[in-house]
Amino acid sequence: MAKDVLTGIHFLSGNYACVEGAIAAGCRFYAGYPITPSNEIAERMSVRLPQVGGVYIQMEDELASMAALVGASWAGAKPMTATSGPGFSLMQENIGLAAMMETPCVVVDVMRGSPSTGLPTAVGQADVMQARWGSHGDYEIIALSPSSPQESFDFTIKAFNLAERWRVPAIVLLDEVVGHMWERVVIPPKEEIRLVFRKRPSKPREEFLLYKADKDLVPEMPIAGEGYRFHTTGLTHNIKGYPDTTARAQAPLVRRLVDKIRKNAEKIIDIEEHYIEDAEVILISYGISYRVCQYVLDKVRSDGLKVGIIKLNTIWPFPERRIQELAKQIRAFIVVEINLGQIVFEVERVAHGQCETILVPHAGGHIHDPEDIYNVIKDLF
Amino acid sequence: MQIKKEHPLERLLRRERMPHILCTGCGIGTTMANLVEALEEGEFDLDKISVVSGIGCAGRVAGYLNLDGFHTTHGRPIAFATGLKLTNPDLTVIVFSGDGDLAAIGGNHLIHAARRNIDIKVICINNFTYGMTGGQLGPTTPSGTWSSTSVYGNYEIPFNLPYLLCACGATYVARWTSAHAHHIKNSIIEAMHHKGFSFIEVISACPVYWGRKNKLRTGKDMVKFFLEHTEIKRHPDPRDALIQMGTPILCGVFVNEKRPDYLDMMKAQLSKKLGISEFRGDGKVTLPEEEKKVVSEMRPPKEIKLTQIKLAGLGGQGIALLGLIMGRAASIFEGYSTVYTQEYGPEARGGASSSGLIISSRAVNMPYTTAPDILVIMAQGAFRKYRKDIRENSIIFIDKDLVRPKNIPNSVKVYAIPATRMAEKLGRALVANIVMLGFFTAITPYFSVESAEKAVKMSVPKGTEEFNLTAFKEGYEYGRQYGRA
Repeated sequence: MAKDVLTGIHFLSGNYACVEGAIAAGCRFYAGYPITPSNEIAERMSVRLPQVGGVYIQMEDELASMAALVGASWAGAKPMTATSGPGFSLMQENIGLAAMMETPCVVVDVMRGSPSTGLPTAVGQADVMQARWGSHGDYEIIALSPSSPQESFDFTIKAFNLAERWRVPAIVLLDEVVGHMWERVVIPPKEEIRLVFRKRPSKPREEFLLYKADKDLVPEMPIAGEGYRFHTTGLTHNIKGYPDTTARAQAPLVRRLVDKIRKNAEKIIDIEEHYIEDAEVILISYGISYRVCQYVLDKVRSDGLKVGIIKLNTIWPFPERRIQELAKQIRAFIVVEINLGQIVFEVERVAHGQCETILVPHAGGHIHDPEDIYNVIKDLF
Repeated sequence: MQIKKEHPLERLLRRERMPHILCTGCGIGTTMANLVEALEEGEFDLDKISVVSGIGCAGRVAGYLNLDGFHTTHGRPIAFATGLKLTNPDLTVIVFSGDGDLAAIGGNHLIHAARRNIDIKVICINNFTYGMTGGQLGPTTPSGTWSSTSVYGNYEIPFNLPYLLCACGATYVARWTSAHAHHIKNSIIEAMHHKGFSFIEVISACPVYWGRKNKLRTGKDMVKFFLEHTEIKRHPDPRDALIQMGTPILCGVFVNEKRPDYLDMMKAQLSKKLGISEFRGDGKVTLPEEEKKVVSEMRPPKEIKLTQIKLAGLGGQGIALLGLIMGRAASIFEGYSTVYTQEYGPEARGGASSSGLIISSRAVNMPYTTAPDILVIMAQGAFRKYRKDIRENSIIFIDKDLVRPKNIPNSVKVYAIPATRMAEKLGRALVANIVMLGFFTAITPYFSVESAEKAVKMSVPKGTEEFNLTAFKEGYEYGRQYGRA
């Protein structure tokens, strides 16, 4: 009999590991539309979900996929979809709806070369700003970036937990290389995997207010069919969930949507630091580019250069406090990403002139040549 | 006599949301009342009903009903409803929205949900126009009529929605006008009891925009127009349902047929194969109890230096599978850090095929085999392509019948095996890759025979394990004898 948690040692691609992470996290609903290089996620989901009594549905497009996710979540699912750049663009409409209705869901974007159709089979990391700002308006999401199949498994579980905890879409920013590379993935016993489910109503229907938030700024969430007879909308709404299209209603709602992530950012942010103590220069990277940086770091450390590294496990919310702190202690940040400058501007904004911020760009289609990173570091010493 | 203060339908309406935004004479309000009457009369479990709307005048209805209500994005209520229904099949899901929302921006979702026969009930208000935004042209605006973006008269042909829905496979399709209160109510009750995609089109009065500019200034004028220009038939033919000025609006139930819905079809296809009787998105399916598993401790691997291996051949030679098996052997059973990648091109199949493997007792950072130490080559074309990667002291494994290594440094160590010929002798050329694996295992130190055999067993199709292991042993024996020959 098929298992929901495949406890044991496996050899999996990043895309497959993502599926196993989702199923271990309790995902039983997947709606998607085929797109390279994310197809292995849909394919494995279509095999695995029926084995655990879940629903796989191939929708007519990404607009529908994302809308179905929001509906599924309100019916009690922990839903997921996977796509790549062009599909991610189409999903933005209902990612905005999910943010506005405060709907937990997970969107996996296996990044490829872009813009437009770009490089369907080759890597890119140019969707990180789209993940943050892709839908219109002020809202916040959470985004994670795995750099190995093991992290693809771990971070997908984490994405579900964060989505449920904070009632936002959580985005797993895989990239083509991590999605397609195979490595060992250790799946722990089921009882060792910590799972989070959204806060449930603590009051009976008569006293319940759909968007009355607790101290953590997150409201309790009922599920369709439970008798709460709630109403939710993508329009600006009051705490009852009723449309209230006034400036007076807009401010508290949008502020809370933004603040629930900004004010709780330190609880969400997850970064790794190595060789920071004596570092004069710090590399900042994520996804597959982090591994290239680590390769370079081993070299420059053996050259005796005082270089450290920060790995962004969560990209959004951005680790402002820590970067700000470090900016005062070092000479330069070097940001390595497969785009022509996205996260580097965040680093620059936060460093605020306290130290230099340098980008090692790549237009996409391949990972960085380690030499290019090495040379930038060498120039600083 | 006591006068009741409450309206009899009030328990289904959100009183605090009144007055509603709908204009005087608008058909949406009356249709909403018909829906509420239908829900009262049909004695449905109101807690289990979800109403989903899109954007537009009709989209506001979800907000007035005292049910679970979702006011979603423009065009997407059917997709949203699909998510609700498949996650909790116990819900009855009603979509109440307009013609622009459902047939223009949401047209793709409409036809696909009908095709899939998803069990949702769609009430489509067709008022020939976009009312909320000021009376623009829609996909249902009758030819020749005025809209605020067709002021010279519409020169498009509108959708014949009943015909479209019938063609797409909807199993309940009806049309009425907002003047036909009883028919609408009865159709809604029928649809609520119908299992499958149900579509009720309500030709609805919009006296403020479409009506006013097309000489039907008031709600009364429009209702009168509908009553005078409607033809109700018992078995109307949807092909005759195109709305044209000057011809009657054909109404009635176009289709009412039984067909397995999406979830029934899913169960029929999957239940037997998987031994699971229910599928739903909320995780409330009880799965058979699993035996507890633990992760076995991985012993630390022997120290080896990082080795890059390139595997190359033609599509169909099983190069990708060979790399995967080697990866599993080294990674799962020997505990090495192992990265396996495939070369992706735009073509789905055929042509050259290659994959790369990196094995090390330390962490591997770079994923690609940029400077292979070992090349396993199964075709001459692949040899030509990767000859540039063969350096001093490289090790190459070749199928000696298929690859003639030319112009390579003298220091290159060549291990040659007639893998394909040996596989053919065993009965299937297909296992040449496994013969090569056996040969490779005998000569290199990266994984033991046991590890390789375990990896073969978990990677080949069920029922072919023994055959593949025989092929493996052939290659392995050839390798063991190799140095001595």
